Amino acid sequence: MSQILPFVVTGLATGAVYGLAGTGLVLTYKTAGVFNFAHSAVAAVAAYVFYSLYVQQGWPWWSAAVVAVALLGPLLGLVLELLARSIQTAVLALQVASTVGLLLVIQACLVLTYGNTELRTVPDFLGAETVRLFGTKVKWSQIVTFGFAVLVTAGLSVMFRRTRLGVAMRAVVDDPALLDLAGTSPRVTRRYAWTIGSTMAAASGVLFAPLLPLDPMQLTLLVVAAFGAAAIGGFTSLTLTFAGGLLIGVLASLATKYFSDGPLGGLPSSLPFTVLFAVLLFFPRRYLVGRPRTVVRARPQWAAPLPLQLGAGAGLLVVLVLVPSFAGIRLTDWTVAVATSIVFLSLGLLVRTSGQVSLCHVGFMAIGAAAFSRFTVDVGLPWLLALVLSGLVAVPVGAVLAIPAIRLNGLYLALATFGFGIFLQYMFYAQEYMFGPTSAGLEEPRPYLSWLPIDDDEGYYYLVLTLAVATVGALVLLDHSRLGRLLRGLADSPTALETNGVTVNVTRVFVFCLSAALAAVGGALAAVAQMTVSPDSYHPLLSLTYFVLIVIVVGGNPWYAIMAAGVLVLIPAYSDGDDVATVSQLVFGALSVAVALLPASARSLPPVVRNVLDAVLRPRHRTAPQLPETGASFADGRESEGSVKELATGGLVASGATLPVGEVEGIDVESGDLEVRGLRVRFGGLTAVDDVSLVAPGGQVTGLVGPNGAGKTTTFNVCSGLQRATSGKVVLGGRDVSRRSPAARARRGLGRTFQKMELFDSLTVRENVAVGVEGPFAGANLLAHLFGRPGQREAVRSATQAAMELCDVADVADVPVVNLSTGHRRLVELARCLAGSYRLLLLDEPSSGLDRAETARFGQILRRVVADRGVGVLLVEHDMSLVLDVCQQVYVLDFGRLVFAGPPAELVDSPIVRAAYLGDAAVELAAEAEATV
Amino acid sequence: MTTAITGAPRRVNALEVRGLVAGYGRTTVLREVNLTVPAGSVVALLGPNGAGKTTLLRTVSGLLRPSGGTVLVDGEDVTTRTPHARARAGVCLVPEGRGVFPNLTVRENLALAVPRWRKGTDVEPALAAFPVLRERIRQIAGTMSGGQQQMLALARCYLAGPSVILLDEVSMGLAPKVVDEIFEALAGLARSGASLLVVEQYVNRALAMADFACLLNRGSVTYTGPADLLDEAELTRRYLGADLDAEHGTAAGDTEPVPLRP
Repeated sequence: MSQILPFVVTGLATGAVYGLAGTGLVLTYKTAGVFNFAHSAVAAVAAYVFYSLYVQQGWPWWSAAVVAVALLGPLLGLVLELLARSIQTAVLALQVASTVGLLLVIQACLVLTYGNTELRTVPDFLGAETVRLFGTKVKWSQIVTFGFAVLVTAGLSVMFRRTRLGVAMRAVVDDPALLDLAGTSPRVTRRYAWTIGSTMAAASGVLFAPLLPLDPMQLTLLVVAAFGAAAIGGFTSLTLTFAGGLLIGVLASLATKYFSDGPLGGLPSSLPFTVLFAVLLFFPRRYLVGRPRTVVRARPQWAAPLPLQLGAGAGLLVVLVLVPSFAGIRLTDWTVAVATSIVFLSLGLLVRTSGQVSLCHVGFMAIGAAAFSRFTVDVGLPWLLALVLSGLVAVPVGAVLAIPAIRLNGLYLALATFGFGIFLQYMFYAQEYMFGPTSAGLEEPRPYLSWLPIDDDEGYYYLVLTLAVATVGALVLLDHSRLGRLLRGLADSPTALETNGVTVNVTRVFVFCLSAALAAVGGALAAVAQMTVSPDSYHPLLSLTYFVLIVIVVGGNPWYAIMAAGVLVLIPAYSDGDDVATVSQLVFGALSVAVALLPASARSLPPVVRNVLDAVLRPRHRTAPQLPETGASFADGRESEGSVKELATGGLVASGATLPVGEVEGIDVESGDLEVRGLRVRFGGLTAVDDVSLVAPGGQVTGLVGPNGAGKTTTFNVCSGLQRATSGKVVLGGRDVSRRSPAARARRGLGRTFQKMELFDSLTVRENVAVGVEGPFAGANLLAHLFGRPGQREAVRSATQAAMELCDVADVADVPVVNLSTGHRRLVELARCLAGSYRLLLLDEPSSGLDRAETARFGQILRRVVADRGVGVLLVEHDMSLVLDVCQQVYVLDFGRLVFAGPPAELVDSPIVRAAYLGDAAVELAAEAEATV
Repeated sequence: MTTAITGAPRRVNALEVRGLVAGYGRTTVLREVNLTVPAGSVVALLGPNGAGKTTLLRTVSGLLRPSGGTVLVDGEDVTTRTPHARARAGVCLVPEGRGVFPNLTVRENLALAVPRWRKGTDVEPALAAFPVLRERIRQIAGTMSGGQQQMLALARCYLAGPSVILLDEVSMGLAPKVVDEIFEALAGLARSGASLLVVEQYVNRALAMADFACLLNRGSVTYTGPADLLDEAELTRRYLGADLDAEHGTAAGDTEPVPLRP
């Protein structure tokens, strides 16, 4: 015990500082909904300012601390609040890039100001004297640090309970809009939270200062340990976060006693990240998953006209081929740049195409380089085989990393990858099998062919260029392939992709592994260009620069990758100063902060330039088609009624495009009846759906109506698998699918639309509709994600065309859906359902947002579809005229219970239904009595 | 609960909405809506789902910026103000769902409703008016029953003492007996002289307590006037389909299933 105690004491002191920083982080994350990756940079800045004033200027320590903590902390807090406000509804990648960019800026500024060569230490300003406590020596500074951190955290807890501001901060977490309605500004409340959180980070930086010699990198990473503490607190609980900080501190301190070298020698330093990672992997889901964020709708990316792209590509290729003639001694840099563009392509595939985040791509490069060296030098494998294998080594690593993304959400993937990059450095870089204990450098041999000189600098350059061009070609093809559509769909709406039959977890893991493998290959190629590599080239913070670059560079695939690699590698190569790398890190970071602060419309080329380019270079017929007026065929409501009546007598059925059912093969489709038996769903204390049984047969429209909050959408979500029932069964075509995933149900023929439409906004109408056919093809099968079977291509094309014609959206086939009116968007969603061989469609309030004419047209199309295709429809709808018009059978829900089932004619006369809608108390009671019978 | 809510007698309309146009993105939901809530009166805002009732309340309370028109509270133009500024000007919205902070205690919920400039955080008037809350003062709001939560939401409004209270489906998802209690509480608020704009799915009950009714359909006002002049036939027609009589025959003919095509 007496041997352990000193370690525990040290651990408690550092742990208290972790806890302090972690608590500040959780405070800002919860109130503002933006995770601050720059939290640790705030701490680093405060530590350096304190050092300057206290050590260099000779101020008394307390006045230096006041400036570093009480002045600088709130100031940075205000900057962060401004940043957080402007990115609150931005897509995740941009959100992460903005605070990561700030971290890069601050870190670069510190390096430029203080350098990282001089040894700078801060004396133990809180008192280096010791006292004996429980039989061990304890420094006064440790006692003061611990006491201060406990006091601040406790004070914060009291503030949260007792003061109006504290209560308002908790309220803003619960419901910012309601707080606004109650007369308190959420913005001001958040500003206070940022000020306090940032001040706590600054305080933790100052408390850290005496523990180790100051180093910008170390300081930034030390406080990243606060992430681990925050993870233990579920990114929610302040008290648990503080306790988590103490736990990490003590465990890390004890680890230094037991694991100082050997294979686990890196454990003490990497422990916070190990904890972070373990929490993300193993803690129960409900503990971590927060409210879904609202994200503004994606805008379609403007792509330069094809002739311009081809011309620019050819021009660039000519320049690249000529490089050896002018590069001279910088040829190796050019080779590295070309190899790095492969890494950026892999990162772009992940970030820009599929909307996921990785903050450890440099780690994959390191894995690739190290593995390649082992395979060639140690094992003696042929060069090309070793290259392929080094890519494969990264695949399982990528798969494990992607787990948080599957279980939780994208932000946790960002955290996990960030932690993993640092973990990799501490734990493995110094190991024998990676870079070796001395870190002397790894040999990376060039390939050799007797008939082609590819082992000298020039020959190898051409080899890498060839491989890079091949990668570009492959990825451009991929962009236009099934996988490309699926990935872009994944970025826009995972829910829609899942309900269209794609097991999105397979897609997510697959793209992450693919990206990791490609990054490892790129890393190996770059390493071979340099002949020897050391771990210095693979610092985890470099991953952040990579990520920020891929988010901010303009241009589509593959231009962003080429540009990013060019600026990252060639600018330092062609400039002289010592600080070029740091300055460019500063510039990239600053740019990403600037991009985040810009309004969304200013984040791409100015429209004037785009229009000129389009007018000059885009062939006439490819310009955006004119959007027809929706419902133009109906002059007014009266006429539309006429059409509907005509339709009811079968007059319009013949005009529908016919698509033979079962034309699309390869999907296991049974007869389409959907049956719900004894369904019950409870949320907490509330019973949303109570013992509901209903049947929606194929070949007819069944209505499901009821007042707001009656449980209609909940019933739908249970049917399609997005929600688990408390009890009851969902039977599709005679088979119990209650335990199946949404994708599996979709593959069995259950399609659905959403009240709040789930479309792939950046895709065109045609691509959206095509996913309805391709989704079930891709399913959970990896190979099918990549390649279609022979004949599928034609099947997809014809089914897509037929569905678009059926729903009258063929004339806008090449328009991105984000540009369409609500009426058109509803039709596209329906067409996507119809394109696949779904036998039963769940349509959730399809007429909401449509005007009268559009609603009538929708009803008309629905009848046509049912008549032509023989599909069944279960329709949730509030427009009673539409329900009465198209349904053969109607179920009425009220308070989660079925109160009526019968043909629409009886519905109108039913007193129970009147009661449900108009709320007559007397009839209400009668209904209740009837329901219990 | 008799005096706290009214304060000084008001000379002007508690709420006046003129030519209000609002929507989401490119979708227009409200088309030139005019609406008046005279001081001390209850107005029932009726209409089928999707008519724009919630949008109207959101626009009046400031959660949604209108693209045209003006909103006057006590004769004061608040159109360009933020929600919290409007709350201070006298607008109180009980939003759809539960208008409480679920992770805060009852007392904390009430304390946030007391305007900042009032001395202290005296929640006593609300407890006197809603005695059911007194025994639950330390309970976390989210753990109470739906009815109790709505009572709390109403008590918050009561404490704020606004010029006009906007109620969006406060009885939604509640058991019939609890709905009775909610309506009693609303009637109490009305008796105390508060001005209410009520959106309710229990149309008949809302009309019973209202002085005026306003019918909204697809974003336009189709009826506005005394509540007792709206007859049941008109209401049924509007709720169970815009032109029910005209299509009744069609609907009846539809019971025959549409033949399947081979």
